[in-house]
Amino acid sequence: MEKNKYDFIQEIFEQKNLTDSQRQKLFSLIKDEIKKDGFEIRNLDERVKILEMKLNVETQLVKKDLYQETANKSPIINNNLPKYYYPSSLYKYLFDYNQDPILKSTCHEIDSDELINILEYCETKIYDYEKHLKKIIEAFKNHEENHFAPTNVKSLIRGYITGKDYHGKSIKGWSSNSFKTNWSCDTLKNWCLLNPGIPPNLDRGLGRKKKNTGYEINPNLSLDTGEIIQKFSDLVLYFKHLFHIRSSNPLKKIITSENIANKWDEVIEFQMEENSFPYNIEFFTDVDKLIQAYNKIIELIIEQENRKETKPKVKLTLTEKDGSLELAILHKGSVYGKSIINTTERLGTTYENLIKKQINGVCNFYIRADFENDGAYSIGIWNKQDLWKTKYPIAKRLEHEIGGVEHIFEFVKPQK
Amino acid sequence: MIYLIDDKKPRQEHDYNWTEERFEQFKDVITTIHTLETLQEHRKEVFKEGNIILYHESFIDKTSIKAEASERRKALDNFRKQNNSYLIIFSGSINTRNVIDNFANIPVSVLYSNLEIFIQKYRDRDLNLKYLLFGQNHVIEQELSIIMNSEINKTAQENLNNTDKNILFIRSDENYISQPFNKYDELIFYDNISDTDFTEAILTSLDRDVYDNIFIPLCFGNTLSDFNGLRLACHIRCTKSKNQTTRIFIYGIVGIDYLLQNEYFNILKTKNTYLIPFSKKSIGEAVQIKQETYNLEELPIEIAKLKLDVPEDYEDNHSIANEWAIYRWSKTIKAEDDAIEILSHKINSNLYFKYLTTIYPISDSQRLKESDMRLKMSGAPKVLYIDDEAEKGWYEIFCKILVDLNNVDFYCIGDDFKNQTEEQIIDNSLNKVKEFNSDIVILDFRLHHRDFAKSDIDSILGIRVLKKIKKFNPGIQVIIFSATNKIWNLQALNKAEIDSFIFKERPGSSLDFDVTKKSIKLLLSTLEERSEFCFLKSFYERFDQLQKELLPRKNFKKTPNPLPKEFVDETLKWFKLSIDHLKEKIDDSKKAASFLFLFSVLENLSTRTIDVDNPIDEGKLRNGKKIFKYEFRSTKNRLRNYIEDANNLGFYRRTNSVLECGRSIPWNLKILNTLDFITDEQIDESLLSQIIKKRNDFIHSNITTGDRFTISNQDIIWLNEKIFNGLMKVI
Repeated sequence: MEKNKYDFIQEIFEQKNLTDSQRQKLFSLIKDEIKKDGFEIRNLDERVKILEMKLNVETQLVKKDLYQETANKSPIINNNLPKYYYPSSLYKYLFDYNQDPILKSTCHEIDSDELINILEYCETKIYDYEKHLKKIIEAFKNHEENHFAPTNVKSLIRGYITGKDYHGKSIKGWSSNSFKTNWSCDTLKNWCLLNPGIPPNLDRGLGRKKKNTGYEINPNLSLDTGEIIQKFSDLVLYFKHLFHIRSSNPLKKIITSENIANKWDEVIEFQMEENSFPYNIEFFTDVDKLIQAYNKIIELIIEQENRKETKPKVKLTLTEKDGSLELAILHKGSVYGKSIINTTERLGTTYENLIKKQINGVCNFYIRADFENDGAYSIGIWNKQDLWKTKYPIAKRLEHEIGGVEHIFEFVKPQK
Repeated sequence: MIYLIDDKKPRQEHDYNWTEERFEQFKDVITTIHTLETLQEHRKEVFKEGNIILYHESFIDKTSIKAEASERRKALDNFRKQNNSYLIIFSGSINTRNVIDNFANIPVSVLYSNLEIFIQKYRDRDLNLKYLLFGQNHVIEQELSIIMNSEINKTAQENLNNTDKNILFIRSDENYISQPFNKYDELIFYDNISDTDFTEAILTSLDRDVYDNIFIPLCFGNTLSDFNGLRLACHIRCTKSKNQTTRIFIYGIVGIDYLLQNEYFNILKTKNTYLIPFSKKSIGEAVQIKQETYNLEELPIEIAKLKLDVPEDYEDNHSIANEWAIYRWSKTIKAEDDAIEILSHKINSNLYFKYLTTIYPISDSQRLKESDMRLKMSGAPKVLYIDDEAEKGWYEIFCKILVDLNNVDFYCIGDDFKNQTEEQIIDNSLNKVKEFNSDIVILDFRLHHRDFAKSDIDSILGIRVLKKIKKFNPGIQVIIFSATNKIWNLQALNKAEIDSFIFKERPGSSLDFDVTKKSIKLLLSTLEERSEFCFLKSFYERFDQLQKELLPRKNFKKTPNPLPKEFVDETLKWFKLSIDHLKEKIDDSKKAASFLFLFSVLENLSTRTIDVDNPIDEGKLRNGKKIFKYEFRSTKNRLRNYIEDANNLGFYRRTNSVLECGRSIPWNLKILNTLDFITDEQIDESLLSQIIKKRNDFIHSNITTGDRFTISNQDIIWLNEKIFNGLMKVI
């Protein structure tokens, strides 16, 4: 099968209006097509595996859904919602990016070991920025072809590496801070011309050996948190922090900074206890979108509480389960404002926007809440294909009240 | 045990200087693991309760199990929690430092910067992960780190300053103020913060253009709390360059209250040096302040305000004093060799020495001319120099003074003492004293670095060697050459019978403008003085021989040729007294006493030589009294008669006639006969008479009439030799 034929099939495969059964059928056709061609192209084979994985993930998720359906509703069509993307794809996309032998130099400082690797794959004796950049761009294209991720994530990384959009047009900046400095920008190129043999994102130890700080960004870049980025090495680490949550970039710290920056901590009493919000959880996701989604929920809580005199209490928990991570935002003492039926039948613009702008492809979304007069329920708002299109969410009755309204973001790892 | 699990060996060795040899020094507490295979092989030892695991975050990223990287890290943390162990994750992609319980994250650069401190503390059973995160002074370091981040972030909002002044802006490779001015020269310090690095940077970057202002960061280098900016400012002031007195602004994240304990704090008390806040605004305002004039002539007074102490990390005070003295002496006498050149380089790099040379400069008038260093020594004494640090420059200095200018027979030992035991040092020193037949020994007080830790002064090698030398031959002249100024050391040396002491110049003593010149002149005069005593060495050698010969012969039963006990005891007693009397001082009275003691020996010898107990009575009478003849015991020859010259009283002529006298032989004739006997009549009559006359003049002189007599060294040397030879011959 020729490569362009596969690309064509993939485009069809990713069409939003394709149903599950149509997608399954298409997949068998792809397999048949490969067999018919009688040879294997490793790259294509891998890409087929990715598609297969996506389907498996979906199937398993559906099977693993613990919630009991309380009613069999007739499907309605909500054309405003995007096609559901599996969050596990994003994890794999970012995890593999981080470990890619070439792309890793765009999210780590370059030390003596890494320099040896770069010289090897660039086939040069001294560091050559142009060749390195060329290899990075090639590796990124290859990575994109073999992985799936939400468009905004791909755009972010493309902007960071090339300074351009999908169509090859120069962008004003990348990330929510619209940084102009990127791997391909002219100022960086000029610096590399003036500093031959020196990688722009030097590790401090190697930099000291070479008596070079690497590329310094002037004027310095400012982050919303008040921190500044002085060097390209700092920018590279900032970039990594945008997708890799870990003990040195813990979600707890990110959320705390966000609470301070937005002054949420002045209007809300937050509870984030060590045992229910561990520091050492490691995860790959779109941190920027996660935070945006978090802020939306907090805004929602504040909006609901603005007429009350006392500070609302919000308990944040982070729980790692087998293959997934749950960030739960419990608005304590609150009661869900809508009825169960209303909640499961009408999405509402707040959640709709949240799904469209922040969480689709990043995480699944649930609510667990005490409903006035109706008891406590758990409802998957955005956790599977065709929800709000051909089926309503399912509300599962909980045995005990949960003490408020809890919004849950579920980040999913790919199945092994 | 600490396990460092890092696959990046080139980074470890090349970027952070942690070579296998360096790890070898700490192998009792740390083990390095570079591959997954090694880790798997040693997993039982590594994953043990209480261990400390330093783990590179991407350790398995290049292995077959890279997909499990995140799970493995989690498993490690679980192990840590369950086994009371410690886990430190480090990476080149970590840019923050945090610690929770027994778990920490740190940037790789911080890990390797602080690893040695952490290991040493761990060795001392002080296990605290904060040493790894923030170094030795972790409390203040953490505080400064927070302040630094906050201050740096503020500067991003500030505008650059416009100026037309010539500005040198010095900064660190991290945490710096970006673009403070529209135009300026920049100098970046990385980890090059040693004294040598600072000196080199000043000589290359501050000796081209003259600047109006120099800006220095207060905190840079691996340890913010070192406040290296103060030290750099001191270096600029103590290094000869075009900008030695240029105005300096130290821009700091903290105020003076943090700096009071810093050893270089006083630089802020000197002219044209200011501490300003860490902001572009303050930097811009500083340039507007009116300049004060600062002349080079003012520098010594201003820099003296620094009041620097000997650096704590220097080998020891002795080394500083010793090197300072070598430097000063070599400059004063213009001695040069490789060792002195190396030392000069050090003096010109090390801040403490630079400080000393700034406040105690050497001018041409302080130098000694060659003609000032000519020695007038008595005889041609052989000089041995014993010093474990001779090769640092003293050897060349002594060669110049003693060999080049004065042609003295000179030898030096000590450069291999470092590898010798104390007993070897003592034995080798004494052997060389004997082998070289040394007359004068110039001896360093401390001959091994262990001497500096000794509380018992008598165990210090210089004293032990001195005692050995003096025991071997008290006549060998020992000059102690040392920088010690402790009275108890001097007392101990005195007790051990040193002959002289020369102080090596100490930094504090350089306040005296001419101190070096004076010290060198003192050495020269001391050598001249001690050379006068060198004859004592042979006196003691003779005494030693006499003892060996005479003492066994007191025993009548065991020796075939016994001597009367009284004779042996008295001879040795007077002979020794005649020498000992000269040990400390050679003046007229000492010489006279020594001379008389020798005559006592001679008298004793005469009674042994002449058979006074058996006069020969041939029946002759003179003036009605019996007269006798006498003979020598051994030869049976008769005693000769001597006639005193009537015109030259005290001058005796030999006669061929036999002495005839009463029962008691006149003293003069007895001594003349004895001297002639023991010298086989080889002595000139006038010399013979002169010696006798001197003795008589002293015994019979009348102090009230002002009679004067002089006994020279030569008289004593002559008499000692004759008596010794006589004793050896007769007995």
